[in-house]
Amino acid sequence: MNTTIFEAEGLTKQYGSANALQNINMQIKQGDIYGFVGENGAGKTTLMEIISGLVYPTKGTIQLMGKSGEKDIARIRKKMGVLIELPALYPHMNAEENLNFYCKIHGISDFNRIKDVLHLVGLTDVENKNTSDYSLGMRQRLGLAISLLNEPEFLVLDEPINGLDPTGIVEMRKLLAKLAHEKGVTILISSHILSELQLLATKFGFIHKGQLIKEVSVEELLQSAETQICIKTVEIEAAINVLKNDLNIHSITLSEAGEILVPKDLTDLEQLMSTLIRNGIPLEGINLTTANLEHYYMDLIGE
Amino acid sequence: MRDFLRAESYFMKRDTMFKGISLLFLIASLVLAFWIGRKSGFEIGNLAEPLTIVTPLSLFFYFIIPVYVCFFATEGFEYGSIKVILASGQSRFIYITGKYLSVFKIIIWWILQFTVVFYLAYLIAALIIGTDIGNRNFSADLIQVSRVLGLNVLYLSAYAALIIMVGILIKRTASAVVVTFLIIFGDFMISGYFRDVSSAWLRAVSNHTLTTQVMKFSGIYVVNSQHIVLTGAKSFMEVVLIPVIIIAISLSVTYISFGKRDIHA
Repeated sequence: MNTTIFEAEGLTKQYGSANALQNINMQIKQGDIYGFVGENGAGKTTLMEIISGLVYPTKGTIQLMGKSGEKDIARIRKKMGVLIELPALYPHMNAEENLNFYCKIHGISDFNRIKDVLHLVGLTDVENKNTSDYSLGMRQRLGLAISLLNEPEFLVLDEPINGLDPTGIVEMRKLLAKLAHEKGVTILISSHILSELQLLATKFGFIHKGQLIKEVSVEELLQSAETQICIKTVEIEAAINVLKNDLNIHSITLSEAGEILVPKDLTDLEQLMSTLIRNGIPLEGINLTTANLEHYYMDLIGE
Repeated sequence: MRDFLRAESYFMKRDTMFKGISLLFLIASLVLAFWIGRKSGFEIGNLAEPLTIVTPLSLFFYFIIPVYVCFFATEGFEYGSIKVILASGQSRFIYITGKYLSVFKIIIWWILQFTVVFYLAYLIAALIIGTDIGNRNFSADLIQVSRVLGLNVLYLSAYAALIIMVGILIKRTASAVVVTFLIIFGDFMISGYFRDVSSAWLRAVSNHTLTTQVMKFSGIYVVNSQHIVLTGAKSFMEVVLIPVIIIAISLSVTYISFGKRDIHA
């Protein structure tokens, strides 16, 4: 499982004077689910477009499944599946016809494959409906089905859970996890729903203003993520004063929900509870939380 | 390439615009067969004669087929299929060549469909009426008809190369359709308006437009009330060279520009 599926060296893409990608060096190993995290315009789609052969890099090189050089890479792309932004669907065709078109592109003559991928993405009951009548979520599912047609070894998915309902998101996550674990498919995925990405990815790459600022594995993320004590109370100011004066804790943050967050290693949970109660602070709840991908990312880009 | 061509054929068979135009040509060929036949009493001097009646009408292909070519050339950008096709390992050269060959197939299909349906309808009607079918000038008419049909394929291919270039450069269907109309009607107007002007240069331009050549080989080009037809090797060379040059230039520009350009999702 150590084969490198994708490797970029000094990859740079410039549009005029703007740098979409700056000196990107990264590796994706076989079996990885690589979560690509970054704000809009950070360069995620540009990198995926370069991998897919849609955009040429200004500088640097890429290797795909061990192949380098334009012709060899183009040939090896037959083992790749892509879904970049909006799914490429013909509105006057139904799901089966759309898949049939792409089957011909891939040279697939076994049309059972169409039934298989429709079943995989849960579109069997609407396969005869024109895609112009599909919801955004259904279109995303069909886009994923298209990317799975050729049984790819490497999947490149840009925002695949856009427009999916909560059930669809969970199903998509399970499907991608199944593909990675059972079939060894390597996945590069970007999403703005970081909580979902955290549940799926095994490795994360954080991109900011065209620069890959950090790569971490899920284990490293969990290790580095600080466990915090989360205190819920109506008397926030009084509680903060107690924490500062009685327990000498100054590293205090407030969550968006108005909860007080204190690093776990600064105090003992029992001592903290007893001190707050002794000072007459009415506690609504107190528990341990682990900082998530979102916090990690925000800390990383300094916001 | 074979996979891409098969996929493009599949797309066309399911394309409502393609089906609509095929139906239009079918109806037009039937209506014209009966309308023209009724006026002439379905007289047939030889078996090739009905075709000599229909070939001068081929000019109307040039107002319809290039517009479809424009839609067909830009559909990959419009629906996003170009992303999946290129990401599946098809080269940009195959994409353009495949598009052009598919268009070439459409051109032949529509010309054949129109001509054959017209011919059969005309012949069947003539047989039902009981018209005698003669054998006067059969070979000459057959040669003339074959030449016009072949040149129509060549000229529509030239238009197709030009329109594919426009479509690939512009990428957006709506804008490309506007430019396509400008090309079709611009060429038509230059051919017509500059035909009798005093400026020798403008007359030369008019004389070398695609529309002028089409009208010449179709036998409907009239200057100062005189029918101009193709005579001599020079005029034949000219009528063949003009579209060949257009095809060569247009496809070269398309290959070079498309080969170097980024394609965004």
